[in-house]
Amino acid sequence: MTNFPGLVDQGHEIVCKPIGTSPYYTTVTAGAANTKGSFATIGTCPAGWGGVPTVVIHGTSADTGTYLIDFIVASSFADVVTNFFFSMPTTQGYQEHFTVTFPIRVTAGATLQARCQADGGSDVLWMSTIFHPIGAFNSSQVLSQSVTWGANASGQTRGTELDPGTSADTKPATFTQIIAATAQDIKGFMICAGRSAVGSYFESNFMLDIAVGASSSEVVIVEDFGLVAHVNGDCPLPRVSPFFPIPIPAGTRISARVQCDATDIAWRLIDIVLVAFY
Amino acid sequence: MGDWPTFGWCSRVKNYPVAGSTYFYSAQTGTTANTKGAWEEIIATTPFDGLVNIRHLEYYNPDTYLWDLGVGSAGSEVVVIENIIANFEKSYNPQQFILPYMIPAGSRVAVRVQYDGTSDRFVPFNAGMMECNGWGRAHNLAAAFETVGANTADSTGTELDSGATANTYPAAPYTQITSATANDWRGFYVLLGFQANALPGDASHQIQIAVGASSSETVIVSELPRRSQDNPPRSSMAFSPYFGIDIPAGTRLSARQRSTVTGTADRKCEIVLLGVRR
Repeated sequence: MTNFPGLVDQGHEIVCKPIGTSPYYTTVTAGAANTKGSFATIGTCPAGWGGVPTVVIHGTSADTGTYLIDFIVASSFADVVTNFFFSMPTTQGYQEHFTVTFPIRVTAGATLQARCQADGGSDVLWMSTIFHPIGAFNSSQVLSQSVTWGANASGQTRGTELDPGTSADTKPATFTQIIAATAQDIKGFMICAGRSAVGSYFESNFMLDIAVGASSSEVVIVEDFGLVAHVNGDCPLPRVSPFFPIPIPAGTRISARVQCDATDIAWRLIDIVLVAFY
Repeated sequence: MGDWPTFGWCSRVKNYPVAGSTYFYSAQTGTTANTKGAWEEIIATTPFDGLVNIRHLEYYNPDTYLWDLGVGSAGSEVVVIENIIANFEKSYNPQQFILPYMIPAGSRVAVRVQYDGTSDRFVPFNAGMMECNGWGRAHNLAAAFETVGANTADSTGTELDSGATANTYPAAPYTQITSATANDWRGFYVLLGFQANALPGDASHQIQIAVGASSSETVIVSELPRRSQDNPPRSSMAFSPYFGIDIPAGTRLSARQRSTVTGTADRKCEIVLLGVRR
């Protein structure tokens, strides 16, 4: 098979884990309510090459919580991502799985592990992984670390709540601060959206802005990102945005605001978390 | 999935529709079953050179669709990608991806859709544009796309059947998706849907993608996970991460699936491959 630039000597097989007859996934169990459970191995990068991981979170048909998930490389105990925010639908049967690709290199042969906490306690997630060789469109430039902004993991399992207010289809004048000052120069970020503490939606549509800059002087960098939350599902969707490769220097204030076509308190609130990479 | 090559060249992401009281565009399928409807504009004029981020939102009925993305003025749209398979149910995680394809500033972007009926003709979309300045320095972008496996006669893909033995891949030969690719590919996406009018059961599945002659297949993607559920019916993942595997023109592509279930409606799915051309 022809080797084209960017993949020379990188191998030609995409490997998804786990491999074997059964199970088709790894079960990751939360601890007591709002407490992280134990790490479980969700995949091992092939021995021959380092790769970029895609994590697949499967619907379990049972658990309905809101989660914060940590991913680590077991051999080095380096954090891949901490407090990745994720909501399952509140109605059983509406679960389905989704994928997220982290722009981080996992070294050859390294084991990726995950643990989670849930607001309900002892809820489970089913996970599997896909490792991509370095060099493709989605893995030609990879990073080494991440930082999460806006997660609330102590005594709760939430993000930062955004309230569009009581005027439908209107962005609030005031942005909600996600972080006062970033500690690192970052290369880009992804947005995790989830159910608010009182969220019980009925066909709500949202548009989300992410901004940088001082209070009242915000400059929007992600404008009108669309989300939708349906009855039964009760999750703002998509749960995670694409990775937006917008560099942000250390010391930057980051904030957000959202508009909604509903005004009921249970229908209009969402929580968000930003996961940045550098 | 992300736009790794644009580190340093992206300062903003702009989404459509823009803020107001419209949160998504509704593309209409053709008035005749299995025919494409009219083009639905989703971006009137792109504000900068960039990558397009398409989100095909949840739909209310468990139908299977094929949709196209086009660029150009009304009445003169040029198809960029064609026959992307999608099947959706309310509360489903949206099909969302970034195309590794530059769309220049000032372009008009539109979609059109077909399905095998005429009663559920409205399909919601929204979109984002990720700025990508300095195109001469970006790399690994597509020249064009090639779709294989779609069946426009019934608005589905190529059927994969796990067979009557649970947890076991059917013996070779694998199910052929195309006898020969027409172009050199630098990678591809795997698009999955459930059968039209044959709704799935609650089950886990794994898929292998292979190259090579019949009965001499070599696996290039192994154990790609898929979940199906019956209430409401859904099959996910609908759209894989980008797999950066080089495939020369003239390659036979095939696939097979294994499942935890053996019911005839539960163990099948539809597959389409979207090749990213050099």
